[in-house]
Amino acid sequence: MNGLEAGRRRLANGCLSDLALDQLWTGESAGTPLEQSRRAHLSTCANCTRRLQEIEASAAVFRARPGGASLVGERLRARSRRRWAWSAGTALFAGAAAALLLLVRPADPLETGVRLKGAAVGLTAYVKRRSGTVEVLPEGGVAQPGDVLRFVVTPRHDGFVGVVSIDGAGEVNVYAPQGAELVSVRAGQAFSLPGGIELDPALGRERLIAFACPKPLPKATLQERVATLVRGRQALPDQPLDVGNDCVQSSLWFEKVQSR
Amino acid sequence: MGMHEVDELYRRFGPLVFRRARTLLGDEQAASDAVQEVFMRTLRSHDGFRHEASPITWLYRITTNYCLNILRNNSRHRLRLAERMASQPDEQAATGFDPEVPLLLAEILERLPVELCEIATYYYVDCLSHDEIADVIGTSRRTVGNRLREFHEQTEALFRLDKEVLA
Repeated sequence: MNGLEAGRRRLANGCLSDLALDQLWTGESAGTPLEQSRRAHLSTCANCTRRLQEIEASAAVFRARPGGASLVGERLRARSRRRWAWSAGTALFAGAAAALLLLVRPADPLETGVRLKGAAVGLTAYVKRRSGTVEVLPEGGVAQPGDVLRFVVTPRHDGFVGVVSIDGAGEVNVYAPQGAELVSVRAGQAFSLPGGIELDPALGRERLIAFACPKPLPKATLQERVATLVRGRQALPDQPLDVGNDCVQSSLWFEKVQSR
Repeated sequence: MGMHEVDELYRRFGPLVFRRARTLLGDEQAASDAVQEVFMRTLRSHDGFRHEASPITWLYRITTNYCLNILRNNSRHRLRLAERMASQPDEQAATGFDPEVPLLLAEILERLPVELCEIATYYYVDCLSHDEIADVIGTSRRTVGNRLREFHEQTEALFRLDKEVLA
């Protein structure tokens, strides 16, 4: 304890805490009565003035360091990609589990909002808002960074499925947990892909595509093929993407907007 | 939140997060990692952060909780600090930076609840007043006083126990 108590003793009575100094030099307390009293103290206290100068000098050194905010952005995007491989143990939709069970059954695709293209695979996306509500994400719907998406795919034939997302910048991610291959599914069964993905801060239009393939396909291969098809395009592709392997697909797009 | 907004937040508040993390963790690289992690958490909760009356008190709390977790759970980090203290006894005089603080915090964290250690960090390391601590953690001044008293009593009890064991 002596070491910690010594830290406390470095401040004389009435001196400003580090928090107070931080609020001063960042401008957070600007214009407040608190700012005035703190500035009044500074004008008479050499110790606090010295500490404030040291803080400002160290801030300048920090700001001159390379990387910084861009590294934060890179780590966010990397973590967003890793979330596509979320383990089946994650219970993100605990509060809406009952609702999901009602929907995870063979049903009339038009009733549940499933998107069918070629009538060979259905895709339903559910969004859990940060408020906790869970709802179907319709074609052209809106989501926000921090919302969580979960998918139900309904293949017409036995095969292997995965969901691909393409954002406005052309970045492609594949969601198909349980290993390096697409997920094996049975014909006619609505299959809820376990886990979920948390939407990253990048705004704009995104497209979700459910692929159903008759034979196993590595996720990396699917990702590369989709990325090749969208590379260089100026707008998000609306037409089906020919990824080969006799895969069929269904897609929907949504808009990721700023939080209100 | 666009990159421009991220840049602005980082430029404005990054230095204070780095400074506190360096004090609490005793290591520049660990402090750099802490800055990245704190800002990532802030961006994920950016709506809540945006509505904070004082973003700095929010950042103080997130930084403290992150650093205390590192000190409590990362035994390799503690070992590096201890080795550095042994090999560079004059580090504080040379750099103005005291490596004893994170080691003391780590030792206390092993024996006391993290909630008490958090308040003790604000009081002893950051030298915050009771009112300021109440603002940071979102409680009353009275509760802060009670928690600090509890921290004193528990550390005194541990000190007495240590003396008995060592005697």
